Amino acid sequence: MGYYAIGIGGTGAKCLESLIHLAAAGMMPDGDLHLLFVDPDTSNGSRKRVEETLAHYVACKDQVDLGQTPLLKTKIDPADPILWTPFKETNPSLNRFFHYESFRDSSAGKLFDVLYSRSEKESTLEEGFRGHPSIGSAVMAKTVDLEEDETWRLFRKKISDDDEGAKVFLAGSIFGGTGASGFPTIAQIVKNALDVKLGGALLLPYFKFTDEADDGELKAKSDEFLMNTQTALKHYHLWNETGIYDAVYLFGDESRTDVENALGGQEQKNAPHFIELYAALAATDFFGKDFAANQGAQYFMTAREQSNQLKWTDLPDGNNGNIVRSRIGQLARFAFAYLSVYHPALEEITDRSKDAYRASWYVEFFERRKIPIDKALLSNLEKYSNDFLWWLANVQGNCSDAVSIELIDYSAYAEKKADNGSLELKPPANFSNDLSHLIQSQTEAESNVLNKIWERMCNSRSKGRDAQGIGKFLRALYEHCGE
Amino acid sequence: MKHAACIFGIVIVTAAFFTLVFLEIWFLEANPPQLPDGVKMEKWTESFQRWSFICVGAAGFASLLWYGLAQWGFKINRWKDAGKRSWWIFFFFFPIVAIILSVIFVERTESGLRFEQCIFFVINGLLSYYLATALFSPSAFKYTPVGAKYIRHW
Repeated sequence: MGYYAIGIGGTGAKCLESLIHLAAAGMMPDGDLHLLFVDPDTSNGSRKRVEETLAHYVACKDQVDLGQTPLLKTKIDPADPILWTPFKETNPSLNRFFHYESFRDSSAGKLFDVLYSRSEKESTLEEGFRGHPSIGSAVMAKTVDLEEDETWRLFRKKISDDDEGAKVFLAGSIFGGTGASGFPTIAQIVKNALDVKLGGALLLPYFKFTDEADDGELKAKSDEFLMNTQTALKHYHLWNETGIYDAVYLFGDESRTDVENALGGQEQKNAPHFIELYAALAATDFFGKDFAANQGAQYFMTAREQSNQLKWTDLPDGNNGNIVRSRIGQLARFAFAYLSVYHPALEEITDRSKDAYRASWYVEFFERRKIPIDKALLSNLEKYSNDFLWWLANVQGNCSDAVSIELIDYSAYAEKKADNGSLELKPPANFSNDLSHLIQSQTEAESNVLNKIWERMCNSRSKGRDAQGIGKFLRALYEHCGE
Repeated sequence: MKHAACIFGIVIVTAAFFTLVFLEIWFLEANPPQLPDGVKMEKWTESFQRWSFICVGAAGFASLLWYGLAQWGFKINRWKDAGKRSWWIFFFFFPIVAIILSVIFVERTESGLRFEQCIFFVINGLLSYYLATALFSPSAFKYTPVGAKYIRHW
């Protein structure tokens, strides 16, 4: 079965970022995952970052055969191009998009004037719909065309060619411009054209801007988020906009995290947040669920045990958070061990082959089997491991002070920058030697984790794993990083 | 369990070299060296056997010390922590000291110290340490002994 996920706007893209990491941790059901971003802001910093993570994931997956293992289990197929934007021209505005000048004196022009303010009509939309779904809805409805537009046509073809039936999942925020307008509009167009199961994650406000000086410019304002949300939810309810969905998941966080206010573009580079992890878990839940025909929309809700806390047991995975803790924990230990120990070892051995004796596992997995070291793969794996650990550190650390998150201890590998408080990875040489509290757990933490992994690696045999080439080594490392 | 197996392996290698000493004695009795006046063959053989045992014992001690340090003393949390070949070489100190003392204290034959005798001391001291460590070092350091990766396949 094919799974299709569409990230609408910056928040939607960040939900897919979490979904990529869950796919790397083996949380997706069997089948390929197809991704598409929808965003008028072609240079959005958050989405650019997600695109890089996606590129690293895809490169790793393409370059190594790991056999049957949760690690990088899912083949991710990015749409071509990965980003669909409703605007083909540069410096678009609502006026130019609808050729307002050609009908401004007609009754349609008068109606246009009633519906949109002057600033809404004239502001450039290069950096998105500026928190105004009324602009987005009009643009989306006119441009999402599954027949004519090349990106959508290819996306539709993939879904149509999927013999086993496809599931499409949309993710976006309800309180901004792009997500709120795209969520119902794209769903309607997809559902009308294709026989698919449709799911969606709708993100209610979970952050607020730190600086909101009113400079008169048209932009999203966090004071309006709640009102926007209320209005949008009422609108969806009145028009049964979400009724076309088979499953809708709604998330929000009342203790909203501070985010720097950026109009859009490269400056809008918001750190990952745990609510996006919830949205990604919703996607895996939706993809793994069986839906009866014509049963109507199902709405899902979950709650944390205590509103001011987040623990692994609060993450909905059908097993009290144990599966997600175990899978993310294993991938975190793998990424940590790879960056701090195994990647430097492989790089040094490549340069100085006489050092191979120092790593018994190298003799077993590479030297005796005459497996060459693929530097491009190692480099992509290094980049992906960086992406994953950085994401995980932010899921833990990027939250309001009112919420205490007890998922991981990122201090082993990341630190908050003094100037702006953003979380950055330490150089791998400065990673802690102590991994025992990396994943917070109620059970007693194992000590000397890195040393034990090294010992297990040195005892490891390359036989008995269905991986190929360097994949046998990576698979063994991943397995030994398990609980 | 695997530690017990490795330590047992070291003990077996050491025991094998203790047994080898008797073969060396048998060889020397079959090819008796020309001893200085007043030195009886039995007394010389006794001295040779005692110092041979000391060489093997020193090698066994060094092997166990290396195993203990490598297994429980060293922690590999970084790539730079791996290898420790200089430590493995350092532990040759014990059998080398034993060999030097053997050469000094075993009474010399008329023709000086015979080549076979030197070979025996080297075998008893150095080879037993080398084989014990090359075959039974802790898994994290199993190829630290020079050439171990060519002889150890487990």
